[in-house]
Amino acid sequence: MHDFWALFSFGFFQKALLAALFTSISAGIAGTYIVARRIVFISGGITHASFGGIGLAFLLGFNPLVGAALFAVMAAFGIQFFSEKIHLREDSAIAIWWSLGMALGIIFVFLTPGYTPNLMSYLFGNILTVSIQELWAMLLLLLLLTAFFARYFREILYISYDEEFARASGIPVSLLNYLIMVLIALVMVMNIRAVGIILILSLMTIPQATANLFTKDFRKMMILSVVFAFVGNITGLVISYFLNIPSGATIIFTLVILFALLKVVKTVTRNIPVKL
Amino acid sequence: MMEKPLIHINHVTFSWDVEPVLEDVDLKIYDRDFIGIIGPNGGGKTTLVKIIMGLIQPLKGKVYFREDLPRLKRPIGYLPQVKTLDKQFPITVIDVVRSGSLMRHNPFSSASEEKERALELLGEMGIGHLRKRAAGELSGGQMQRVFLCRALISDPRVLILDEPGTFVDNRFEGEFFERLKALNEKMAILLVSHDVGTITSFVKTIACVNRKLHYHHSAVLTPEDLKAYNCPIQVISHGDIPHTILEKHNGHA
Repeated sequence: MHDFWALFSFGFFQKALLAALFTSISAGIAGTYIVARRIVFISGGITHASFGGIGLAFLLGFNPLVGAALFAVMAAFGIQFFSEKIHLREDSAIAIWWSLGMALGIIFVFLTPGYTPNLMSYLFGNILTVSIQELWAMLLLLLLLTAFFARYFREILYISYDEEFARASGIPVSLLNYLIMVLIALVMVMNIRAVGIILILSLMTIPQATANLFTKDFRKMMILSVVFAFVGNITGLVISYFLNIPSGATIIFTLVILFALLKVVKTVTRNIPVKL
Repeated sequence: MMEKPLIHINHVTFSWDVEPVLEDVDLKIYDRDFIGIIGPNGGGKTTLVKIIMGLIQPLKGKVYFREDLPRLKRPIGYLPQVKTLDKQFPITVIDVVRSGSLMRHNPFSSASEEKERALELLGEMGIGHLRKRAAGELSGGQMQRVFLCRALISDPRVLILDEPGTFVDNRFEGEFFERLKALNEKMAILLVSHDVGTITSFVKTIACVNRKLHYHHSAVLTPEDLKAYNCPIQVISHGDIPHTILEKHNGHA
C-alpha cells in the first residue's frame, strides 16, 4: 500500500495522470460524437493514416506528433473529398486512406537511417513517458474542443441527428462538419501518446458503449463517457505499473472489463430504473 | 390580389441531369393560404419543397420571400417526408422538438420558455408523457407527431408539410386535419400529398405538380376543370370515395 501512494509523488506518474485526465475528457467528448454519428470506421481510417506522418517525421527528423496531425487532417479531408467529389464509395475511400497512410509510414520508417527506438510507443502508446510540452499541447487542444462543443452543442446535436433538417433550418452544416472532423483528427493524434495508433479507437468507443447502457441522451452520454474513460485510464495505468506490462493495452483491457461488468449488472438489475 | 405574397416561386426550373424535374414552375403563397400540392410520385412535389426550403438550388428562376421572412431566422415550419433516421441515436423526444427553434425565428426569451412550449405542443399532440424517451423508441406515428411539434415550435408564418399522412393512423388522422385547419387561422399551409382523396376535402386551393405546375383557385375540381387546366394527375383508385377528382384523365403537360 505504501508503494501505491508513493507512486503519486513521482513526477512521471503525475504527468501520466494529467495525460490520462486530458485524454479521458477529449476522448469522451469526441468519441460520443463519433459513436452517435456512426463514423467509427472513418475515425479508424484517420488514425491509421496518421502513421504515415509519424514515419515522415522520423525520416526528416521533426516531431512525430506534428507529422501525425498533418496526415490525420489530410486523411479526414481526403475521405470527404473522395466520397463527395469523386463519388467513390465512402467505405472504399476510408480503406484507401487507412492503408495508404500505413504503407507510407512503413516505407518512411524503413528509409530512416539507424534504429527508431520510439516507434513502438506511437503504435502502442506509452502514457508514462509523456513530456511537459505534450501535456500543454493536449491541454490546449482539449480547451479548444470543449469550447467548440459547448458553443455549438445544439447545432452539433441536430446535425448529427437529422442533417437535412439542420440544413433546411439554416445551420451551416458543411462548415461545422469539416471543423468537427479536423478537431477530432487532432484529438485522436494527441491521444496517440496514451494508447497508441492501434488502440485509440477503443478509447473513443468503449466508454461510450458503457455510457450508452445508462443513458440515451447525447449530453449525458458525453459526461458519463468521460467518467468511464477516466476510471479505465487510471485503473489501467496503475495496474500496468505494478504488473510492469504495457500501459496502453492495459487501459483498453480495463475499459472492456468495466463495460462487461456494468453490462452484466445492468442486465441483472434491468427492472431497476437508473436516475441520472 | 394586391397583397404581396409570403413566398413567390418565380419561374423555377430544376433538373438532376438532362430531363427537367420541374419546368417553369410559378406559384405565389399568400397569408392564410392552404394549398394542397398533388401529383403523381416522381412528379417533382418533394423537389419543389426542397427548393423552397433552400436544400437544393434551382437551375433557372428564383424563390422570393417577403421582407418579413428574412433569410436567416426564416419563420417557416417544415415537416419533411418520412425517412429513416438512426433509431439508436442518443436524443430525447423533447430535444428533437426543440431542434425546430434553434435557427428559426425564435419567440422565446429563454431556454426554459422554449422547453415549456415544446412540452405544451407535445401535450397537445397527446404524447407529452413521452418527452424524456429516446426518439428511436417511438413508433412511426408518434414520431410523425414529434416532427410536427418540431415544425411548429417557432410559431412559423408558413407551414410546409411533405406527405404528413404516411404514418398518421386513422384514429389520429381526423384530429390531425382539424388541427391543420385551426393552424391555418394563424399561418399559411402548404401540404404535399399524393393521396388526393383525403386532402381535397379541407385545403382551400390545389396545385397539381407533374413537371409543370397547374394552380386551381378552388379545392373543388370538376372533370371539366381538369380538362380545361389540362391537369396531368394520374390518380390511384381510392375505392368508393365519392370525389370527382378521382376520375382518371389523360392530360399531358
